[in-house]
Amino acid sequence: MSAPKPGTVRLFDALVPPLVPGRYVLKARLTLDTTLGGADPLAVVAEGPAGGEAVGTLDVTSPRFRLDPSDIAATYPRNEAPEAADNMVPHVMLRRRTLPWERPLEATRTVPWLAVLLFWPGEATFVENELVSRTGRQFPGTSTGEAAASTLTCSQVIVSRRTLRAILPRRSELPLLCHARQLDVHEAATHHDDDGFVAYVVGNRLPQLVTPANLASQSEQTACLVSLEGIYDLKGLWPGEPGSSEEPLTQPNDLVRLVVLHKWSFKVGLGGDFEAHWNRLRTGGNSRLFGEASQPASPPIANPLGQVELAAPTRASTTDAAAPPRTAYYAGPFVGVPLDHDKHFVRHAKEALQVSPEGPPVVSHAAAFELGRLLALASPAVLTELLSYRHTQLTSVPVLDDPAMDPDLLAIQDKLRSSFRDVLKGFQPGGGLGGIPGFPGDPDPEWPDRLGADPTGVRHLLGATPGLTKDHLAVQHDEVRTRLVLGERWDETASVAHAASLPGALELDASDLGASLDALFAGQAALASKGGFR
Amino acid sequence: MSRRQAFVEAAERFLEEWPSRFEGPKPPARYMPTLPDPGTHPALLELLLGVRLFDALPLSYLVPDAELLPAESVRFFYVDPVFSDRLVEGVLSAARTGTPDEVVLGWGERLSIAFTALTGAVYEGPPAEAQPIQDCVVSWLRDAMDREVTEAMAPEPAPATGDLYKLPKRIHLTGLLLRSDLVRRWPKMRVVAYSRGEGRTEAHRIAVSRPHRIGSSVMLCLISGVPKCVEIHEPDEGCRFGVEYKNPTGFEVDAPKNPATPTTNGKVPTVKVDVALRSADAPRRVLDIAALRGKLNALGGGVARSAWVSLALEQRPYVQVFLPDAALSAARQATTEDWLERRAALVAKLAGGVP
Repeated sequence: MSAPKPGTVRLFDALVPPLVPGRYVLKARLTLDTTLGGADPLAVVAEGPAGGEAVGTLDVTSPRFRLDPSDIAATYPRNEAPEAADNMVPHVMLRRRTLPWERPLEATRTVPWLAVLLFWPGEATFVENELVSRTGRQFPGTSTGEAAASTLTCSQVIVSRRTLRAILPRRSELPLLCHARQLDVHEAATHHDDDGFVAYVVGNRLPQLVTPANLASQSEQTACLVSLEGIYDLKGLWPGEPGSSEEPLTQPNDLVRLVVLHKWSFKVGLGGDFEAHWNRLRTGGNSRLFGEASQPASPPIANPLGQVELAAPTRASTTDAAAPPRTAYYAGPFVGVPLDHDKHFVRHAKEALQVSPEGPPVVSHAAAFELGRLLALASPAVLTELLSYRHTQLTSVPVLDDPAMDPDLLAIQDKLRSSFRDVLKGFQPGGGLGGIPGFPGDPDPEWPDRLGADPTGVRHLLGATPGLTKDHLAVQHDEVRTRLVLGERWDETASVAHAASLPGALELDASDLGASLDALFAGQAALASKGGFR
Repeated sequence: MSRRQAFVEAAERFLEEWPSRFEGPKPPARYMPTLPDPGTHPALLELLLGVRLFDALPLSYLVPDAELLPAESVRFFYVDPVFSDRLVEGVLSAARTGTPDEVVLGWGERLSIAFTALTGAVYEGPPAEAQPIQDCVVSWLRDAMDREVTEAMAPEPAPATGDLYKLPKRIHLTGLLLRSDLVRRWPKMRVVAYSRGEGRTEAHRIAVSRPHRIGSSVMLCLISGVPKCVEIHEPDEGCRFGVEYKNPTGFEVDAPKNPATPTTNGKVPTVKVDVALRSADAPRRVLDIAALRGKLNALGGGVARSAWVSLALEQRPYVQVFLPDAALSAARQATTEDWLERRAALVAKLAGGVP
């Protein structure tokens, strides 16, 4: 029989072995039919006992009171599962495909001799290494491989007849609770099964429900694979069949011992399985868009912009008790409406603050900026790497007019440079970089000296540090440069131009904008030639 | 208008226009910015990805009010891309070094973009798609991080082709937040998203981030783009047998699909069969297997034996499917448009920025 295709499984109602356990006598007799060979039959010398008959014995064995751990491929729930679903019955998967049908309880042999019973806490007692004889039933040794049952021990469960009758499957249900499967290769491999055939014995009882009150204190429930040998025929024990009168239960409080071949314990979780949880969650109206209330009729939690109103901290300096409480709007990154990208950057949190004259400020993006900054500041490793990364980006900028520059890039530069020059000519009638804020001669009162007049700090150094030598300045330049990001060279160059008195520095002719622009780039080249800018 | 303002505006005009003026070849790759290198900048890269995927953020920043995510609820959302960008900018701002940076990163950075444009150092992509303001490190990094995010969100197993790899340059993230006992009990549940609802196949899968657990009962999952269908798969725990809750006291199972059953739209319909407890032993929750067999027999297709009964009792991993509700979607669309109009009005009001 070929293996099932991947993702498929082949099912069998029962896999009944041709022989039941026991000792078999094999007899072989050789008979020659001389009529088939024609007139000249072969001469054959038969070896063996007198009379031409060979006799041997064959023992067919099968587990009876114990199972090897390797016989168990899997159990559900797994042993010591902390939160098994309360709507699943326990089952065991056996590697030996014929095991449930190897010991006959009826002549038809399709009734399995194994069943999975589930005992709730307090319903049964489990004992180990008890003599098989203590079950009070006869287990005739049917094969020479088994010692007399009177000397064997096994695990047993002790349960009252009343309880056992309540939880036993009906006799007619036993065959429905065992089946065999041929798994596909991949699934078989996961169970370390060599031939892909396994047998399932399924329980008929659901775990005991737990409540939130006893969830933590619940005791374990125990499932076990038991042998039905010796009790299948007991009168007054089995539950009645549908449509027929039930035998009266005899001696309900008497205890019965069953042979246990495997047992495992687990605890139960609240609320059923995965599906049950989702069904409750879905039907409870709790699957909604962010910002909406659980009940459709209720107003949304968030405003139309996805924001909630938060109380802002009160300034410690506020002495006016009558001042209204301050609030701010905040929306996290998750909102109920699609929002667009923003092409702009912000350099500090205040720039991201949205202030409306009509209402509280919106602090969402400012908070995001500060949060990102704080997360980075919290890690020295991130800070170190960030500085290193910025330096890497800065030094990746090509130096203009570098002879080694790619011709393609030079072509790009020419075209863009002329475009930019046209733009600048349009706005600066006086011409010259002297009109650009931050550049020499800038009279713009809106651009405070603190910022615009000293973009790289070099002029400040010159002014505040008398006697600064050329070498000192070069060092300062390198330090400043390594701290700057990609595009700062414009300002840096401008600053150098501004420090026109510096020996060796570039002096700009500010009479023509185009010339200045070229000089700007030439200035970079000049500095590069000194080894300062590269 | 001051000269400073005039200059900045002229530069900005240039920045808006220059891609259309420029049709030259792409600058050499060695002039492109680079992502933080996993080998030399592992912590930085991890933090950038962490804020881009929101893994690194405290829950209170994600859900500022507990009512937004009540117990036992799931909430679908759009990601505000600006919030995400501000996080990245905040991280990058941490290495600023004082006044020079303050100046340069003020209007100076805008000039730097002009400089960048002149050198072509960080220009990327064909002119039609180029966003001039993006051609600087921070913006480039946003895009690069989106690509990293997409890679981090690649589903497993990844289909060889399909919508998964049709990703826009700037991804629009959506996602879901789940606050439930489900997160604690089934932490390995999988989220799968599709660009098509009905008729979806593996080729319609779109990228989904690995579900991120926040605390014991909250799960965050991001999706690349706006999905038409989201499935949440129960982790496979092997074969299981049991019943489904029909109501607090009743149970049912899916009858095995009989090939002889007439099909609907090419599919064999699912038939539910009630499962009773054995009446005398109902408090002990013993299933009436014989009655179940009788009901399966009544459906036709032969006598139900053990294999057939086992198929009825077998509980396959559950898949919770979320599909758009047409009526609800229409109502939300109207609401969304109203929201967007009001948002645009507010944005216009705030156009002046910080007063």
